[in-house]
Amino acid sequence: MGTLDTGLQVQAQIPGFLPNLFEVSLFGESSTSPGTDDSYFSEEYTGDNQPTKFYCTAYNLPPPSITVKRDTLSKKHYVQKYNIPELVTITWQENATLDVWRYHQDWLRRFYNRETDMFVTTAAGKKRNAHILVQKYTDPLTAYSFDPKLTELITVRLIGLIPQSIPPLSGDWNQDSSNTAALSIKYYVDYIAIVQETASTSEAVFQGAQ
Amino acid sequence: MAVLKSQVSALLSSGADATDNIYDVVINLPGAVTSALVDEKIITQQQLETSLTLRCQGFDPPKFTLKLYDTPYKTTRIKRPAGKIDGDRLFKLQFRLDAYYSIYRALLAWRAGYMQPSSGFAGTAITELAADKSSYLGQIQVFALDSPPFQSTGNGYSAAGITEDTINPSTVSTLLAWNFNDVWVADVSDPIFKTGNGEVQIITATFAFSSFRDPQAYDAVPPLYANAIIPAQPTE
Repeated sequence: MGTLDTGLQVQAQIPGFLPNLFEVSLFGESSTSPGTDDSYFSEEYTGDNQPTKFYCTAYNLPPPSITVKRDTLSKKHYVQKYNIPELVTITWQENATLDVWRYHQDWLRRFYNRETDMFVTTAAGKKRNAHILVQKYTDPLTAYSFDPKLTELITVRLIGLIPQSIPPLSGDWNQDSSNTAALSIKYYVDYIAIVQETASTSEAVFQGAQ
Repeated sequence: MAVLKSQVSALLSSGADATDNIYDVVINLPGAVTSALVDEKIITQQQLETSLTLRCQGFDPPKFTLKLYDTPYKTTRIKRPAGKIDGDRLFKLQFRLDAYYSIYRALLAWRAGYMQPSSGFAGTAITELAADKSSYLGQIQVFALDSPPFQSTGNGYSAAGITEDTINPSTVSTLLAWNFNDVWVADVSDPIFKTGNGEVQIITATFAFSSFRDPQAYDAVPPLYANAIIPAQPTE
């Protein structure tokens, strides 16, 4: 057990996690990774094969949890239930041409055609994936370097997303565009995989799942 | 402990002091704004650029601070950098207005790309607003001479940036520099009229910017300013 001074020096050298370094890509369901081949979903709205890129300002992934009970006889705890997170929240920044709203409007149309009042039975375009690229600074800067680079810390793959609702569209003469800078949308998610894509091997390395 | 005599000698030879008046502010208005002003024959481009530089009253660099947070450890706590920079990418410049109000008019023309009180136009885009898709983003550079002014050998009264022209990084190698890119004018104060002593009109313009280089980064750009960390000394 060290002295207080030694512990303080160690404490001072522990860098903090930066929750503000991340990017989010949203793309179709048939691909597992954006940009690796041409087979993935072509976005109806954007009309190209690239992942849809809107500015995402925040995300929130509720953690899995376990329900534990105590055995009345042995007095020991046992796991009764494993709770899988179902809803994730992503906050988008709307732009002047309502791209975020229109993208989700089109997405919703894959489930229900309001023009004919019919559910759409085909699977195409219903479930989509998103990658949250959590980043870190590559290396400590060398002396007098002004070219900091961001690289992957982990990638959170959100598989099988379905929007719980689309962004609201509202107009108000008392509001301005700052009110649409943060559109918070909840999505149902089938599976959350945590991988590291830029590992030394060419394949993404599985780190865990939720 | 040094003796007083040597300290006085050291003080005398410690070099010239920095002064707050040897600087230039160079403002490059967006091409669309300059073209409009020149086309309307309000002012020539050279007159405008010279007037903006010479009538700028000063420059306060934008202030940025590193956010800190507490980390407790047993009986005490330490501060650590929080990974966030506080501060707005804004700065203000004051201008002494000319009798033709050309600076005021130029700044209003710049601002008209996204704000027109008279027509009620309030845009949200600061690029590609003009009919020809020109940008409404300009550039502002601030240069301060970071060495004592001295006469060039054999060229009397030709200290660059002092007696000849604005400080020019292509001819002056020892500079303390701020270089603001993607600049747009966020606010322009209006002249105030009153019956009184006939004071000079002063207006304040607030500029917003995105990318920029301050002296910390400017010095690091090789090769021209590589020696600016330790400014080159004038040769005898």
